[in-house]
Amino acid sequence: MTSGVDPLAMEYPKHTSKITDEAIAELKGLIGREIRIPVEDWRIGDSKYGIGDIKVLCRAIGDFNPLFFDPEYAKGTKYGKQVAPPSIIAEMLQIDPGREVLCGARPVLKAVTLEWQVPILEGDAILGKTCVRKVEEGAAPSGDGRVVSQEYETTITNHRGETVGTAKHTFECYERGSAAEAALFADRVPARYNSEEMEAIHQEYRGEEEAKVIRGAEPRKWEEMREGERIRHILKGPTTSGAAPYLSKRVNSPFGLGYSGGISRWYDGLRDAWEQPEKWPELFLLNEHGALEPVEAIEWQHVRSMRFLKLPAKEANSERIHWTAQLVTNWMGDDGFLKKLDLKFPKINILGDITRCYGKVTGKRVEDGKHLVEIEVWNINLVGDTVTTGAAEVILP
Amino acid sequence: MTEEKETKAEHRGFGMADKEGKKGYGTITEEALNALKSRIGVERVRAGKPWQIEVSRWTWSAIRAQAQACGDYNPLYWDEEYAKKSPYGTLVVPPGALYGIEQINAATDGMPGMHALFRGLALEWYKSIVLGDIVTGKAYLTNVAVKGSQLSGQSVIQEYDTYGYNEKGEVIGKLFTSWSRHERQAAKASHETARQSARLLARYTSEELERLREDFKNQAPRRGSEIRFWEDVQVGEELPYRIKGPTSQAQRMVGEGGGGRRGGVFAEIGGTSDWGQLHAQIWKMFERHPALPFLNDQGIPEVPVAIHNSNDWSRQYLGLPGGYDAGVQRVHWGVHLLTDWMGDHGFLRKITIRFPQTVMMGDTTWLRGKVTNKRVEDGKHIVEIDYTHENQLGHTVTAGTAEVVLVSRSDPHAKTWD
Repeated sequence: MTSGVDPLAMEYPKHTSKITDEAIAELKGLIGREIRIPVEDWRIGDSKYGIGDIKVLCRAIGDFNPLFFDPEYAKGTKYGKQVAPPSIIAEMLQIDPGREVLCGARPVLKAVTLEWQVPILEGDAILGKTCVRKVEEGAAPSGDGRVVSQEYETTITNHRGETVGTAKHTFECYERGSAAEAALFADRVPARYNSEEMEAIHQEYRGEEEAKVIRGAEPRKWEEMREGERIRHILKGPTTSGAAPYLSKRVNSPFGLGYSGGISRWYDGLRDAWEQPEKWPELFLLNEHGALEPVEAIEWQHVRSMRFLKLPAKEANSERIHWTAQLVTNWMGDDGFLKKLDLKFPKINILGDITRCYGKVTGKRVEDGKHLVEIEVWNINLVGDTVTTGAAEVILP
Repeated sequence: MTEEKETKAEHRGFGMADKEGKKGYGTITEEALNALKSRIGVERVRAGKPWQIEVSRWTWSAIRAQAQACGDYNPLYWDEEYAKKSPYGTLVVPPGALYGIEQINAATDGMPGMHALFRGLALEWYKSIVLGDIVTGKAYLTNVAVKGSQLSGQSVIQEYDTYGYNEKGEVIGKLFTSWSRHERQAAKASHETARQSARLLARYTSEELERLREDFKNQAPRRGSEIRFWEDVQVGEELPYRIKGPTSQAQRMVGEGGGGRRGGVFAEIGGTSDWGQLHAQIWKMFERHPALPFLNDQGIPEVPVAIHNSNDWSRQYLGLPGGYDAGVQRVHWGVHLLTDWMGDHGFLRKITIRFPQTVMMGDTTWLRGKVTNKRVEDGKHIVEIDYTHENQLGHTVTAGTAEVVLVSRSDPHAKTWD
């Protein structure tokens, strides 16, 4: 079965995909319908966040705020127990664009708005219900290729039936191999770091620790907030393919609820290597071995992405939701409450990028007896692209 | 950012250059041998905090992830209603999970810098593992022996016994592992690696892929709830084959790299392993273990497990034809072959396994077994099986023996395990 050629040295045709009228019509047919991953009652108990589950979540997003990570510390706060990083609600979208709808297209998260009502605590299970709100075919920003924009709204509740919050996601789906898709990448090439640059990154992380970016127990007082006050930035990355499988679309949330677990939420690589291509051929391409492999996996390394897609590997925009939320939750302290996070992702990152997350206070107000602080947030990557813009609202004591 | 200033030493990894200067690093010395021998019989337990142990409880989602990683859709693992009616009365954990009791592996135990090759293992099960169980382990180094080797002149055999315990403190099973340690420089020039390098990666034509698809579809169904009686088994009887592969990077990430919460013994990003960390935390890890990371294609330090799950990086950093497997999932595949044959009422009580060859990424493996003997021991009706796993080149990559306890017609309601 080996044919004497080296599969890693061969040239491969560019993988392409098309978004059909039927696929758009099918997606439009879902508008207004409630979508949720079915969960039997007997599984709810299993889905409750234990101490370890929240820690695992913290590791996945690189957030070691002791309020989230350390149950002993958390006991001493007003919550009395570990709190789950609030940005997890972004992972509760109950439908998978580019797979379950617009199958085979490249999904790109363009915007997300998260709002919270109550915290998620150790012992809670969270559930989601998603509605498709809008489906629109847009003119491609530049170059040929269909681009379909979709808005989804997800309501997240806990197992007690309380509304935890809402998540609104805006995706754009691109035809793979199109000029419109290529335009997302502009002229980005993978960064190449030398040892001095790596050491500088290492030292920047140490600097964060020394700067005590996590406010912790000392409350930040609303009265003292001043417009223009800067939040000390945090650094993330450089991202690697070791992490990519888990973050190819979604952050690894501990449970099967929502879109979690990376590729394993839909593919086992053994039985599914035969059965899934029959159901969803658009999700696969013929790999170096002449066998079918999910396109999603090809995106984990630059070398494979260049080989088959003729594009570098892209970071998942959704990672920046968790990083930006972390900037704010670090700053607000244990007594703050993140009420809203509204983000846009005007540009992409590629694998290996570093990203710095920035914020500054832009205003404050009192609403329904709550003392709110408005914060502008933005992320800049290593080539100076503003890859995230947005705003947060925090309730301070 | 694009100017390349790295020296050759830096390419070997973050701080690796320092270690290799140390006297005796990577060679068999009297001192290193004695240090290792002093650990014989000492109880070893992988450091773990209570939350890391609790998170290893076999919940329904953990069982599902484990079964999915093996590609095993036995309803005993997936279907609560079915499992309730089975002899177990509840969801069952795929038995290969017992391998998770491993506490220590020779690669990181003594004789720093010496290459470690996994020779084989044996697993024994005394009790079943089911929904809600937590299994912990205690390991003991049992054997350290120098011997001559074709591979590199001299090598050291290093062996462990590990016992698995349930929450009541009962021993539920045992793992035996055997390693050989080789001087790295010599290993590089070995015949074995030369042979592996000569083999090209699999590349299937569409006709060949079609034949694999037929083999996949023609797999006989599992025995399931229909009891396989010991009396009905013939010596010489062949087990229905199973086929696994062609494997891919996607499959590796689910099957060995830790898809979801638990998928294998290797780095789980977001999991409990220290290797599965990101951003600020991974730098802390590299501070503690400066020789651990390699520098990837972008000059970024990464944990080494990322290499073996990549054809390109295994080629670039190790001089191998492509990505190689770590052996873990072959244990699970072998268990799948046996449990599918024995049915819901049988009990897998023992396997031995050795790894004559690597499974490269892209390989397809056929799992076959044959009954070699039947016996009754302490009232248990046992069937002995020889099994092999063969790849698409016809090479035996895995081989071993198994013992299965079956129900006897003389006592059809007896359970086959304690």
